[in-house]
Amino acid sequence: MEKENKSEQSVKPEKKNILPKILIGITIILTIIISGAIILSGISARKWVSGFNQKYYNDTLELKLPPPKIMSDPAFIRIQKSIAFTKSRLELTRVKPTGLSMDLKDSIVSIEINGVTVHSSKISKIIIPRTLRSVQPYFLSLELSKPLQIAHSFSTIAKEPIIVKTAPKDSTQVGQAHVPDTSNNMPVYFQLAFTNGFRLSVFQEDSPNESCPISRMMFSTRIAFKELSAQLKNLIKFKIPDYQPEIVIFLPASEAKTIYRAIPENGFIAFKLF
Amino acid sequence: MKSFVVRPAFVSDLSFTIRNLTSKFILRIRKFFMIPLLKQFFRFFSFTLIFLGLFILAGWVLVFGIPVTTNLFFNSNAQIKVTDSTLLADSFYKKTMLNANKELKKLEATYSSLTPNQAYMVINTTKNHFFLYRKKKLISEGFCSSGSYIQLKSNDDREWIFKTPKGVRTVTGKTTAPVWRKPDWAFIEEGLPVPPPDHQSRFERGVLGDYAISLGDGYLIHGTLYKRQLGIPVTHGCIRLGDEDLEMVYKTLSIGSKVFIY
Repeated sequence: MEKENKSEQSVKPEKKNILPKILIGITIILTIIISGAIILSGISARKWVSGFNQKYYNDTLELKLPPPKIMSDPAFIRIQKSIAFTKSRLELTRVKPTGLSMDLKDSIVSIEINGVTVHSSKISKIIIPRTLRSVQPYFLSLELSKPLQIAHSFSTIAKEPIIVKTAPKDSTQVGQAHVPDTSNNMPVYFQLAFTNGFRLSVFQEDSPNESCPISRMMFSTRIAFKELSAQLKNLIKFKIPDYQPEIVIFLPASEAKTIYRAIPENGFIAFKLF
Repeated sequence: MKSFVVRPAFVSDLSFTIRNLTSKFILRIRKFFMIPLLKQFFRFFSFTLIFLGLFILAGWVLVFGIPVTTNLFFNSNAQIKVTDSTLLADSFYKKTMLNANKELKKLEATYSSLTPNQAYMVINTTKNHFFLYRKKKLISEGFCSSGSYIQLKSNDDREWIFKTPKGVRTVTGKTTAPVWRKPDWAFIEEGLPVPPPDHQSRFERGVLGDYAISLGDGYLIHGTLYKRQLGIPVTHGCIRLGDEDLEMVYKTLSIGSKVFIY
C-alpha cells in the first residue's frame, strides 16, 4: 500500500513558480518598448531635420535664396544670424512690449521692453540639440528672424505669487490673515513650448546645499508624464512621434525667477542660437 | 489499558491540514538549499540587475528622451569655419556680403535708437530693485518696494489685487509734499468703516515722503515711513523709494520720461 502511495505522489505534477515567467515577460515588453522608442525617436529627429530643410527649399523661389555655395559660407551665415536676431528683436517691440532675447552665442539672456534692454543675465550652461546644428544654417536663421511665440509654459513657481487675504471684520483682527509666499523656497525650473515646436527649458543652477538634480529630475518626470499618453498612443499605433527640439539653459535661481515672472503669457522670445 | 480520547471530526481534519502544510513547507526549504548557494545568488542577482537596468533605461528614455541616438545620427554643420578661397574672388559673393553688412548696420542703428536718450527708470519687481539711467548710462541704483501681490477680499464681495503694473509707463506728473487720499481698500484692510469720498479722514500728510511722481492710473513713485521694508514687495501697487533715492529720481525724471517695469 505504501509503495502505491509513493508512486502516486511521484506522478503528481509539481507546482511551478510563475514569478520568473512574469519577470521575463515584463523584461521582454520593456525591451520592446525601449528599442521601439529609441528607433522611433531617432527616425522622428531625422524626419524633423529633413522636413525643416524641405520647408524652406520649397519656398526657394519666393524667398530668392542666394546660391547654395554662398548659403553655406560661414562668413555669410554669421552675418545672416546677426541680421535675423536683430530683425527678431525689432519685431519683438511691435508684437508685445515685454519680450526676451536670448543670445546663446554670447550666453546672454535679456529682458527687453519696447526695444530697451532692461535686464541681462549671464547663462552658465547651454545645451542645444544636435538636430538644430544639423539643419541648413541659413534656413535656421530664416526661421529665427521672427520671435518665437510661447504656446504654453510649465513651471515650479507661480507667475504672479498671489496671496489671498480676507478683510478683517473690525480693527482688532488686523494682520491675522496673512499667508506667506512660499515660492521663495521653491527651486526654479520652467519650460516654454513655442508655437513652432521648439522648446526652451530653464533650470536654476545646481547649488551644493540643495538636492537640485533630484528636484530637476522630478520636474522633468512631471513633464514627461504629461506627454506620456500622447507618446504611448503613437507607439501603439506604430506612428512616428513628433520631435520637438529642446534648448536647455542654466541660470542663477534669482535670475531664472526674474525672467519667468517678466515674460508675459504667450509672450515672444528672440533667439540667436550659435 | 489504553485510554481513547474522542475528538470531533473537524479537529482531526484541521490537524491533518496543518501537518500536511508544514511538511510541504519543510520540503520546499530543503529543496531550495539543495541548489548551491553561489548559483542561487548568481541567478537572482543577474536577473535583478538586468531588470533594474532596463527599468532605469525606460525611465531615462521617458524623462530625458534619447540624446545618444540624436547625437549619433546627426553631423554638425558648425564645423566649417573658413570661407572657400574661390568665393572670396567672386564678385557676386562680394556684393552679397556688402549688402548683408549694410543691412545689419541699418538694423542695429534702428534698434539702438529705441533706447531713449532722455533719462529713464527701470524697476525690477521680483528683486525690488531700481535703476536710473541718463544718456543711456546708469547713474543710480538701489532698493525699492513694489506690489505685494495680496488679493484683498472685502466682506461685501469687492476685491483688489495689489500688484505693480508691468511694461512701460510714462511720467505724467510730479508733486512735492504729496498728500495721500486714502482709497476704500485702505479702510477695508484696516477693518475700519469706509468714509464718504471727501471726508477728512481720507487725507493723510507725510506718509508719501517729500515727492511723488505719477505714472498714471493712480500709480505713484513715492517715499515711505517704513524704510526697513525697502527691498520687500509690500506696497499696494505703487513704488516706494528711500528719501535720497526719491529725491534723485524726482530731479532726474521729467514729465514724459519712461519708466520700465518688469
